[in-house]
Amino acid sequence: MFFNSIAFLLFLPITFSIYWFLLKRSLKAQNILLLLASYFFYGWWDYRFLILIALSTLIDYFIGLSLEKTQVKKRRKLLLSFSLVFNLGILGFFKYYNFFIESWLDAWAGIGVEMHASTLQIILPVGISFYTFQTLSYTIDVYRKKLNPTHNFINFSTFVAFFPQLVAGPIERATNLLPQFSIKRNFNIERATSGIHLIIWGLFKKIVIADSCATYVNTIFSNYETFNSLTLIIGAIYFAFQIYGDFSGYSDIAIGTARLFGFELKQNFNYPYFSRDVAEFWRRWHISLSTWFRDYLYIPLGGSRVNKSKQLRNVFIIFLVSGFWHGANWTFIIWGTLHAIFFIPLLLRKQNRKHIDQASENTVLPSFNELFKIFTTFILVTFAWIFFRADTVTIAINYLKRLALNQNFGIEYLNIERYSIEMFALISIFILLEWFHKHQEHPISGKQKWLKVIGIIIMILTVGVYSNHQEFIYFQF
Amino acid sequence: MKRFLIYLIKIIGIVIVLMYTMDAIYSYTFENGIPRNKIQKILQLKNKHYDLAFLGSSRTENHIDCELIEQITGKSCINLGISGGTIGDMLILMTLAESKGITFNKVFLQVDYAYNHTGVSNNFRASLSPFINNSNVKKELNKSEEGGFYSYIPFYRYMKYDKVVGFREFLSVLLKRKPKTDLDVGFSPKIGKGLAISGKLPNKFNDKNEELNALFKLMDKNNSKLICFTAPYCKAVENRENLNVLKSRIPSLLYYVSIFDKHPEYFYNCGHLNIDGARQFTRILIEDIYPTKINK
Repeated sequence: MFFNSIAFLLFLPITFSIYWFLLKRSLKAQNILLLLASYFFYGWWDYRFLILIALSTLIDYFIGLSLEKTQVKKRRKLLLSFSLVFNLGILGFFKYYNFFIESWLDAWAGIGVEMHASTLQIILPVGISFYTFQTLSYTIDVYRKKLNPTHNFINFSTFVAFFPQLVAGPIERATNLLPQFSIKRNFNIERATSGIHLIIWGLFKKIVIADSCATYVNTIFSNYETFNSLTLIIGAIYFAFQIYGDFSGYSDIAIGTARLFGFELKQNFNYPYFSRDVAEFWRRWHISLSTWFRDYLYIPLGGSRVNKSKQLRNVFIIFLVSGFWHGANWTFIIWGTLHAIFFIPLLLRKQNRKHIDQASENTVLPSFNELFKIFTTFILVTFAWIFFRADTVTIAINYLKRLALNQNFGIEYLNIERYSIEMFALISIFILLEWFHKHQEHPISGKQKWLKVIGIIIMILTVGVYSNHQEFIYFQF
Repeated sequence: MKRFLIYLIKIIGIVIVLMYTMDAIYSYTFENGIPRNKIQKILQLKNKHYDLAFLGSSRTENHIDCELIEQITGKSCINLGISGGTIGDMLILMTLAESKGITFNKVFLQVDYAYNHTGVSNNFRASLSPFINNSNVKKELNKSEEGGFYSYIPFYRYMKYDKVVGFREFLSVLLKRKPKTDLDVGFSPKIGKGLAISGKLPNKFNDKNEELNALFKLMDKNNSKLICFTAPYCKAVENRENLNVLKSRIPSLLYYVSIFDKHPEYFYNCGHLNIDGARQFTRILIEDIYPTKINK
């Protein structure tokens, strides 16, 4: 079920009403409802894959209990390994099997040896990367004794399948979300209202910004050989806003929906395109994934407390894995590598934690220096997005080649019957809205709230894209 | 909770009021603004008479130069071909024309693979949607899968068909941006040469097309003569010979499928003539309709 679908428009109020009106007095009944609703939400897409979520839940639940019972180090390690092998094995099979087979064949073909092996027609279960990482965080935290295992199977199952963030995050930590299922939830109007505002803002980002950009991006990337340098630059910029609007829009709707049920999820985006360097970008972009990798991969590898060469190795590992997490394609690996390359100079100069605060913390407008840094960071990030968006590495390289060599900067009329630069008006409004609200969670807050609500609803109704329905990009990951 | 429910009702109320308001603004603009497509053109005409009208898809819109016809014959002419248009689309267009008191002496309908298609094209339905107050339009829109949604949910049609009647088109009408095609004549020629093939013609043709029969009846009722014709295809198109069947389905059919076999320079692609081909084809057609008027 998609957040921007009619089905969800019915599903949400029905679940909300039963939750708060019929089951208000029973925490257990509320949790059971959330579990059933979550399975229904996921099953609406493909009920067959519910078995994977159920299996993952069962295994990690019992491994958690077994970890509690034993203090024998070897046995604890064995239990953790079993969870890792099982969860990553399923993820690996569904997501990476064909990639490894094809890469293996390509490698042999590269040295002139023709080999044959069959690939499988595998459907990637939606959200598998998200809930796998979520359950893994539980088992690892229990193993590290940072978290006591839960004895409540319903609560644990609901934690794994919680529908607002099941298919595209934010990836929740058991330490944050799981305890919330055990505490009686009272309806809080401020929280619920802010949830509605986040949902409206998320829909704006998705339907108005991301899907409008998608119309241009799809045609520019599909026919890049026919466009000039300016159009290709514009295509990359539009994609930067498409993926931001798409993914952060989803996160906003997820966080907003969870608030309606009395839950608080982690912030996943914090105005990333106002970052002044790539390190800051990664503290503001897909925060739940980057902190996951930081806590469960980077720090165990030694993090920044090891010598320089090991630090460099760790940075490369974390960005490569991050790229690979997105999908079985060399384009994602190169995307990750590029970010590692952008990050390393900051690490070497010990400037990776230079910008902890928000840009223009105490001023309305940025200084020239800040603006330059924001602009430079955006260029670097957008450059890497070209690899992320392209279907193959060859296409990305050819796209960049044409962008550099064509040298024609005229405004083109695209085959979608609009000028290439038309989206800039909308993007400018979006940037201004974000800039002037960057100290708040989202723009629908502060003074003249109602006016903002009306303005944004008008834009969703009129400028939103409905005929060319686009799935959330991160569903494929 | 009570406060929250009141808040939610306010939000829903705002959405409903906005949808009604936007619907009224859009509908008023489309009904009263400059015509930017052939449906709007027809709906804004009243009691007009044309000697000739040409109906069909892009293979009419790109092929028939009404200005040339007027120059040569002195007869008034309008090209009502619509890219992607079906016989069903043309039937509705003629029904709308009838309701506006627009009359024609002769109506030419381009028929080819479209003979197998029934129903209204999505683009045509989208272009109709702002005119839901017209009873013919309402009847047609209610036939689609959403049924009454169009009339009961305000602004729904503008959201569903945002590509065709959404904000950009609304703005274009509001700013009086002229369409690429001159709607007074309706001819939209293709520039360039080529014989690219996209798709193939059907293996089989249906025995009849109910919408075509209805169109014959409608024209008959209005004392107009409906003549079907088949515009040229290049030699390479697959199953071209199958079009011969149409001669038996429509005995009065003017059949021009192979007239430019020796003139590949007249094609923009295999199914469409370029501007030179279109003008040459128009002359051939005039010769057949008004043999005495053509200046060879």
